[in-house]
Amino acid sequence: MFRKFGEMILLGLETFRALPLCWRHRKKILEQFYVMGNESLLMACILAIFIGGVIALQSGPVMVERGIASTVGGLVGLSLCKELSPVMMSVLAAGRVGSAIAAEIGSMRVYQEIDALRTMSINPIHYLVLPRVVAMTVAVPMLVIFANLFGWVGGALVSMGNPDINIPWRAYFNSLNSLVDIRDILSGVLKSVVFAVLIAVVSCYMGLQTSGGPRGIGKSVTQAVVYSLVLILIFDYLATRILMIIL
Amino acid sequence: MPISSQSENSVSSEAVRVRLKDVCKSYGAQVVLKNVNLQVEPGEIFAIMGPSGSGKSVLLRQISGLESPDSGEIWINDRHPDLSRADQTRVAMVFQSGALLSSLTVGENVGLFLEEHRLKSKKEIGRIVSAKLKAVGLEGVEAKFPSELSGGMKKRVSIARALVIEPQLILYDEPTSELDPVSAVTIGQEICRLRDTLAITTIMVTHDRDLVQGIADRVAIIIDGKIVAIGTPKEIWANQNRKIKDFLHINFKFDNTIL
Ligand SMILES: Nc1ncnc2c1ncn2[C@@H]1O[C@H](COP(=O)(O)OP(=O)(O)OP(=O)(O)O)[C@@H](O)[C@H]1O
Ligand SMILES: [Mg+2]
Repeated sequence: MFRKFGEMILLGLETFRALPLCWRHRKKILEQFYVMGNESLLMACILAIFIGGVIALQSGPVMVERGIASTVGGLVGLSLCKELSPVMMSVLAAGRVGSAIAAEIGSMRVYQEIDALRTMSINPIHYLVLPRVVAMTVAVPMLVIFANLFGWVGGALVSMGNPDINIPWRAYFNSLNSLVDIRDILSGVLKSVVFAVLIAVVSCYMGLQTSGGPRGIGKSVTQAVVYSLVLILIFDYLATRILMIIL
Repeated sequence: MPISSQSENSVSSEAVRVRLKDVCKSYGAQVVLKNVNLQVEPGEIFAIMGPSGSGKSVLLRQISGLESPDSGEIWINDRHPDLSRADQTRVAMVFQSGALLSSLTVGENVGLFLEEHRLKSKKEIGRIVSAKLKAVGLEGVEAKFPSELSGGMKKRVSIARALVIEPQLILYDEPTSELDPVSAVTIGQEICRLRDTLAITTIMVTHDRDLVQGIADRVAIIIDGKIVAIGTPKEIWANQNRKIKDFLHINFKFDNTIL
């Protein structure tokens, strides 16, 4: 298992070293970016509306009862942008995009497509891994921003509509506006960048190390998702701690 | 890694000599290649025959540089196979399964090498791709995806993809295994033509007896990872070794029952 992590780190470093080749591979990066957006944007928005809604639903009545109704908007706003959007969007990306990456690269490995690339002196890390890592690193933070907006609206709708909360749209967003700082949003977005790199590198790694024929592909996909989720949660704590110190 | 501009200087158009010295390879406890010694001369068409599972594909993987042997040495001219230094000796491989990239069209597959290494303009790549596809008897399939092709067509596309590299050494893993007899002859002629015009050294793994007798200069028989005989097709077919006779004999019998 430690060897796996070591190899993942090496893959990450090698991808990092290949970053100057981004411009050369821009077409593939855009293609990947498009695929990722297509796979996850709609789902991200729906998910975010319900997450925002449920936080308002859980916290709203209690806060209204205690007479701090004016902080409901802020609470929903903060919990989304600092924690829930980055983590949930990364979970979504791991499940939808990471699994697809592991499956695609895994099948390329099994059907010798990667060997074929190598015999043509095409480095699979430049050709396959780099575009995916870069596209993911751009796509996930964007998902987080979308999730923030939709989550806030979801919270607002519940706050307005639920008779036990009953906070007007305007008051909700005033509260959100006064409590949420640009630094809070930034810290969430920055965290999601870290998660995105993790998911992409782990998924590519799992795809590349697939062995044992078509059956191995399924195993790689499962491992890609499981490892991504575990690492997201571990790094969430670490990144939060570090960002607390920096920002 | 990328094929540099200096490639013009260092890619010599001269054909290559391949030498294997005591090459061994095991996967776990299973010994697949046992002390393989071979020398393939420049411009030669060298065939490797042997029963299924005897290690032929594994041998090609060692020569191509996809894997390195556990012990022993492989020389391509005066260098070891090294995929990251393709600017020095160009080696192309045609995989047993074709190994076309399923996410790319046939045209993109064939042109991939030129495209990725920025060796030609888009227009020129298109022209070269059609020419190479035509050479293997395929026309107007550029826009199709590999999944829309038959097994034999895939094989021919992957031969076209290998030719685009303009290799000095080309390794075929069963070039005619999925082809009808007419296409098989076409491919055989193409292999010959490449050797005659460009002096490409050819190593082909095959079960196709006609192909070997028709175009191979020499044949090696490999059984259980060991080379048991090397010689011209005539010599091999006249070989009295029981194992070899059995192998070729079964071949004959099989053919006779079909005819
Ligand atoms: N990656 C691998 N891991 C473990 N064993 C392998 C691997 N590749 C090949 N082998 C074993 O090596 C032996 C030789 O395989 P190889 O593919 O070279 O056979 P072959 O001579 O090409 O047969 P065929 O004519 O059927 O293609 C087989 O017994 C196979 O089980
Ligand atoms: Mg084989």
